[in-house]
Amino acid sequence: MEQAELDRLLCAADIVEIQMLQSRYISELDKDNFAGIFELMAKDHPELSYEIVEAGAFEGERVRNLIAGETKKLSKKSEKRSWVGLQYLWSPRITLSKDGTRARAQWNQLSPHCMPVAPYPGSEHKPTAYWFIGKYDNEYIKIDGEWKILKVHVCAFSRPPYDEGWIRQPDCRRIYHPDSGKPDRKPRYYIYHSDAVYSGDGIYSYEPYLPEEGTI
Amino acid sequence: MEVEVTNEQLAKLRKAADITEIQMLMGRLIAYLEQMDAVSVWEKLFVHESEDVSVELGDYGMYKGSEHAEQFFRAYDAYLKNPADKRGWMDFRNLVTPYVVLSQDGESAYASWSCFAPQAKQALPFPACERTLTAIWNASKYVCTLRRTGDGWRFVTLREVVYIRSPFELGWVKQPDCLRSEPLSDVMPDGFSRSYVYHPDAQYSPTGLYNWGPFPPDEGSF
Repeated sequence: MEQAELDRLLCAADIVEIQMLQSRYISELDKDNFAGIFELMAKDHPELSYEIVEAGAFEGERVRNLIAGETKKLSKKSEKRSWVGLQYLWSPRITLSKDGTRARAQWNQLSPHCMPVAPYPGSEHKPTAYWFIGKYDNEYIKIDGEWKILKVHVCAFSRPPYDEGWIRQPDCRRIYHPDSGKPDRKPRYYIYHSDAVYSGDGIYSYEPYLPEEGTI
Repeated sequence: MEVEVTNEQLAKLRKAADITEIQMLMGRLIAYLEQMDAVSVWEKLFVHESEDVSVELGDYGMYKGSEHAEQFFRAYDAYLKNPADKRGWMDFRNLVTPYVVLSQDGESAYASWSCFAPQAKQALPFPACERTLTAIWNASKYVCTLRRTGDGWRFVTLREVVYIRSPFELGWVKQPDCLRSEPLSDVMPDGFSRSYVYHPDAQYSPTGLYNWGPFPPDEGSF
């Protein structure tokens, strides 16, 4: 077999492994097991980063704070009544670095959720069915031949109440991490607005975008 | 421990790699369309200079041959970049259930994906008589043929079959399809769009007038 063909087969195997790693991540989320998620990450890597929508990014060692905070928060029974936090991922696309040791991967997300929020015109937090419309934009790194998650970036474009839809109320939720401390980087907002004029490269878009092949 | 890989095992590995590459090619197409960059879909993901090429997205009609397919993508790109109706625009394509069938010689392939996505576009939700920004559920299918080239797999044909474009507030029984695409400038289709739009009064069967096709070819049939 020629080297190019072997490289092609290995590249495909890497893509499958990364998809399975992300599926494992989702499986741990389904179990509320953030400690299990941490085991999937490049724990000691200085570029380690975890950014969940508007909670901001926790970086390096401080990802442990987020993991501990989420574990504490989700262990409270009062937080979980009526809770639906499923994460359904769609349209996978993965690009590998030239040297094959890093990867960037994206999935769209469309998921049914139910959490205590205040749907318009309510002023009271109550269990509310809503859709999560967003995207995962992650980075992965191969360490000792095994793929690990280096950066998790969860983007929300819209979280509309089930009865309202993404035009009437694009976003009914703001997450709150009282047990994790202040993030290292402020959050990036991607929330849809019905009055925004969208373009591929303007102020309003559905970024972040997948980098071109061969550019990472 | 060293083992000898048989030709049969190698063929299996190559088939798995081909299927993965085709899925990633479709992922790249989704990424470009999310960037509202239809020109890159044509320039980077399609075979060129082939009369077998065709593209048919939703109700835009079919564009046959390289020349017309390229004209379509450039016209569609210009439409996507025109801000006139992009206020509140949302155009996700969430694909699942990939199915890839390789030809016997391994040089061509059929592939399809189901799609279910939230969108927001200017449309005509009942009982409106003027177009208005409308939250839409899109249920559709992407059906493609592909060819192996020196640069990897490339699309030969691409077809988006729309089943449902329902206003969020109404659902697919009350209004299965609230949208007709804007005509594109300076380009005419070679064939009218083939409609698979759901209708609550249609009797569905795989062999009848109304079905959820087009259906994939059998393994080994081409």
